[in-house]
Amino acid sequence: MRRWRPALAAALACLPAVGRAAEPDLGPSVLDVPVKEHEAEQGILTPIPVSVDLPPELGAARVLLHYRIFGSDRWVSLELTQRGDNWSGAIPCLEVSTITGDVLYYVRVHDAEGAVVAYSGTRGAPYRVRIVHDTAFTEQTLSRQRCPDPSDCPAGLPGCPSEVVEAIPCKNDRDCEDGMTCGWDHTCERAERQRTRLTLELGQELGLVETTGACSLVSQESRGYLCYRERDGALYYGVPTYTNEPLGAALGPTRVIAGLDHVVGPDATLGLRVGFAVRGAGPTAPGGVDFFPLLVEGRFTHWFGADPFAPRRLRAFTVLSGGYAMFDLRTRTHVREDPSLGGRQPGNELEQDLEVWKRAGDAYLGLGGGVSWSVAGPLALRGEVDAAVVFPFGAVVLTPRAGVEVGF
Amino acid sequence: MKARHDIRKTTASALGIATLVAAAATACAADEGAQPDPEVTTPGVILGAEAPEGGIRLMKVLQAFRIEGNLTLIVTTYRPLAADFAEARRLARRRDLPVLEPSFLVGESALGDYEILWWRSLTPEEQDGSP
Repeated sequence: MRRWRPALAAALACLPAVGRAAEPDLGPSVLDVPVKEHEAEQGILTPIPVSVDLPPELGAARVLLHYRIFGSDRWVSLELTQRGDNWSGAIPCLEVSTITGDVLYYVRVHDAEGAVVAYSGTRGAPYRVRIVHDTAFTEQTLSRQRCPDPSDCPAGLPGCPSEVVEAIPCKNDRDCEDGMTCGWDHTCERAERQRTRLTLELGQELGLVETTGACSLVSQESRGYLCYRERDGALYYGVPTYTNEPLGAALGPTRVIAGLDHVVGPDATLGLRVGFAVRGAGPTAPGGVDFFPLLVEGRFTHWFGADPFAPRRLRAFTVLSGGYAMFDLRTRTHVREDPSLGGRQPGNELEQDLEVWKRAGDAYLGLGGGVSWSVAGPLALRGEVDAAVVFPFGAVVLTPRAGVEVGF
Repeated sequence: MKARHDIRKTTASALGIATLVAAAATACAADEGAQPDPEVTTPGVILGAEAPEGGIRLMKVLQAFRIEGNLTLIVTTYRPLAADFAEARRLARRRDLPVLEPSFLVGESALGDYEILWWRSLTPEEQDGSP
């Protein structure tokens, strides 16, 4: 039986790129140690010192020792202390305690960004220190070292046991273990974030349409308007005088909208929406362009709150969007005929109400907001209201949307 | 003889406020253009004139011309007689008034007191002189 006391004092050499097929691809460097150094033996109530020599060109910023005591299923992380090229620390004496059995450990080297740039041992193939009872040692090999009173040497003080590291640094998910992922604060965490969302919504478009001068021949020929007499539904082609009319509140198309959003930052997603108008297409002027029911939208969404993509009940967001769509908006207006021009169209009253259709589009920019309410697992209900400025055939379009989303 | 041109009902109070709000909302106050009123000679104008038998007779001017300096109108007269000009204005907006005389020649001087009540552009039949 090989005995090495005061346990394992590993002076590790850093060799370039010695990959092992079974090891995870963590980076270019593997801290290699002769196989015979992978196991050691020591007595109870004795700290397990660990020391690593690293070449400066490795760019090590932090070296973490991860260990597990026999009988425990929890891995604990300690930070080794740097002295020149040497990084050292110890599994605390009180952790070793009087429990006999194997203590497992491995070492990972992080750069300044948190990425793992080298390692020695892994969670699957760790170093192993067998803790045996003092009776297994001869008098010459028995260490007289015993656990100090923790109050004499608090963890974290120079020369005292290392402080337990709660936040493991990382740069991406590959730097984390045990099913954890790398959070936006560059520490490993056990959080099931929803990075992608699929949405399906129903939207009812409402508009504000300028109705002043809307029913003149010029407007109907070149500004996307069509006017019909409310009395008999005839297309209006009279000679209206120019009167100031209020903005017309208009009803627009109803659309089914499918979407995809993907997380691009701690509180932001980029998304795409594709919609199809299932109702609300207006008439087309002779020779005009037919209504095209498709809506295509790109959007940037800011989500409120800390860590908004972690599982939570309610999420609120604001969204900036832009895209392509035609909006057929129906409203009404009042016109006063110019009788001095003789009445171009038979049957027009001096004053009358007209139904107005405005085909607004084809581009728009919008701003909106809404909430997502988780109901079961990845399924959530969502509601949203967007206000969009439509151009070049102008209108202001307000769209309440409601639907479901699935996050994964 | 006097003509009372009081048919401009622009509902200035309500519409004006709404227009101001709308103009403020859009930051583009449009100036209203001229809004000519119909004259007694305007084809399509509907007149109310005191009838010899009492009441107000409604008539729609199809054509106006002068004979030796006197204004002469070809009108369609309607059967209902209004009690006063207020009722006449209400009746003038109805499109289903029964016709008394489809085409009737009358001189302005024979109209007596009259009022311009409304205007409605002529139908093709009225333009042909056979309403």
